[in-house]
Amino acid sequence: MRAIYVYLVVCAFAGSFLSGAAFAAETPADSGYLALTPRTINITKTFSGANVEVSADIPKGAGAVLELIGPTRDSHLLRQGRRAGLWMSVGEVTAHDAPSIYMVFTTPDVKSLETADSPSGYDALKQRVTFSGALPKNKADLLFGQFIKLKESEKLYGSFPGALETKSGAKHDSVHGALQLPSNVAPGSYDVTLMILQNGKGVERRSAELTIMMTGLPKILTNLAFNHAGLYGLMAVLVALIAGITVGLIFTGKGGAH
Amino acid sequence: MSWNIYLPIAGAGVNVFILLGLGGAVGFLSGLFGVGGGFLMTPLLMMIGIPPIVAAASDSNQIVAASASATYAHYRMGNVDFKMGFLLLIGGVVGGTLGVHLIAFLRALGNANFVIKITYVIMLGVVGFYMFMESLQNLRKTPVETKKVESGKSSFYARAVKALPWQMEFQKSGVFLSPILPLILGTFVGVLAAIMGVGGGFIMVPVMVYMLRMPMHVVVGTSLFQILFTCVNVTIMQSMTNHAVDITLAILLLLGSTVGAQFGARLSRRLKGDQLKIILASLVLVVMLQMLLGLVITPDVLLAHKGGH
Repeated sequence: MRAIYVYLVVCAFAGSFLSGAAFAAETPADSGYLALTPRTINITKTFSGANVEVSADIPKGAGAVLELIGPTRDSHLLRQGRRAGLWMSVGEVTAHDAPSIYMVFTTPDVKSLETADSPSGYDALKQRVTFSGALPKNKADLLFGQFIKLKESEKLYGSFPGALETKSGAKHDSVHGALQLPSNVAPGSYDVTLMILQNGKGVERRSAELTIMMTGLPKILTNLAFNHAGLYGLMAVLVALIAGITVGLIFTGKGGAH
Repeated sequence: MSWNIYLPIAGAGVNVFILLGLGGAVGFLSGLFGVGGGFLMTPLLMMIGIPPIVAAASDSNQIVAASASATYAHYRMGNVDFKMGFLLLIGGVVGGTLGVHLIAFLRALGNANFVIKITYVIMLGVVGFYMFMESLQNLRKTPVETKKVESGKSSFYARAVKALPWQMEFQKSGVFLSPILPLILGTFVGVLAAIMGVGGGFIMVPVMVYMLRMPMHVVVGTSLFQILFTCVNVTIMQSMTNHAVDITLAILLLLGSTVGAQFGARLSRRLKGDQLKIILASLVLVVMLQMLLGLVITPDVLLAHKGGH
């Protein structure tokens, strides 16, 4: 009984880390063209994803395409293939210039994302992302499709046609959307762009910056892990050894182990 | 109050109770069978969205706690053969280094992953099947019959072991053999563990039971002792080279696993050696079947992130 009590105290201590807001919402800063609420997201110890509200006025009868684009980076991947009837990794592939996150939303009336001056959507992304490494022979096109599938399974990519809500006003229409950011979104600066379309042609482009940053305990631990790796490793081992031996002592002290 | 916690190195938010539960379940198995549990925990962590390399590295970190907790419990019960454990550990370090070079050579040839997967399935299949059948046979026999069969054995292997030089007594294990044998077997397990990318507990346990003829309860304690040192080394190496240890993840897992390991160690004392072996064999066979299915069934996505076990 004493062992269970002590364990609960340890858990309660760990639980005290969990109090606090998941993200600090800022007052919406309306650019006049494209409003994001919040504009800055703090990754704190209880962060589990965030919701960003987007709204803008658009001319009457116009359509809109909203994009969320993360910083580009190289992704190192393993390509799965069949050898002697068995599925396994058959080579390393690197995806270049792929945004860390990509989401595209449209108003219900937008039929095609390919406007003449600024194409968007997965087809446009396909033109920018390149692959190197163990590419499959004659099936390079399939690789991009699989890359999208992988990113969608991680909730980092998404295509949501018709998900931007349109409301009619006296002088203007307005569009509203919600960007659901998963908890695995990386810190950085993200571009949110709104392309206004009339008769299928892009007539105006507005953009805003969404900042995601680590604060508090996650920031301290990340700094330790990357800038003081040796100390961090020793700390990880010591914490584990102390926890293991303490629990061992608690349970042995109870008298049941011998 | 939110029960989600953000794991900064993994870069994901996860429910605290899922991590405590996973740690508890795998720690229980660790204490029960003397395995690190990496071959179970890493795939489970990947299933909840932890990147493979962070899952593998943080799992090694939490195994330090679980194995320290369980080793202490087994030490108190007199189940740790330190002399044998050190010899196996030295062999394991040598074998691990050889295995890493072997993998580099196979990668250069372009078929490393094929060798890894096939080695995994064959090793799990052979070990699991042999252990299952042998334990089943022993459980069906009366104690007198079992003793008769054991004492009557004098195979080529037994004669070869007796012929090795510098024979010495391993008091805790109740065996008399040359230190060369645990060194060689430790190296063999180290090579396999490096190829397969796991701690090697589930290979080490059968090796100690069948090749070193150690009693099952001492095997569990000694295996945990050896795993403890291996995982301390892996945690520090992973922190320094890959920055992949997530201490928040490891702490939550170890809160569950250290307690689970205690209950596992207690249950292991209550079960007969053959009962322990048959349960471990079943677990190994289930993992083998799951891996085999993974090799045969077309995956949903034909790309995966690099890293992990």
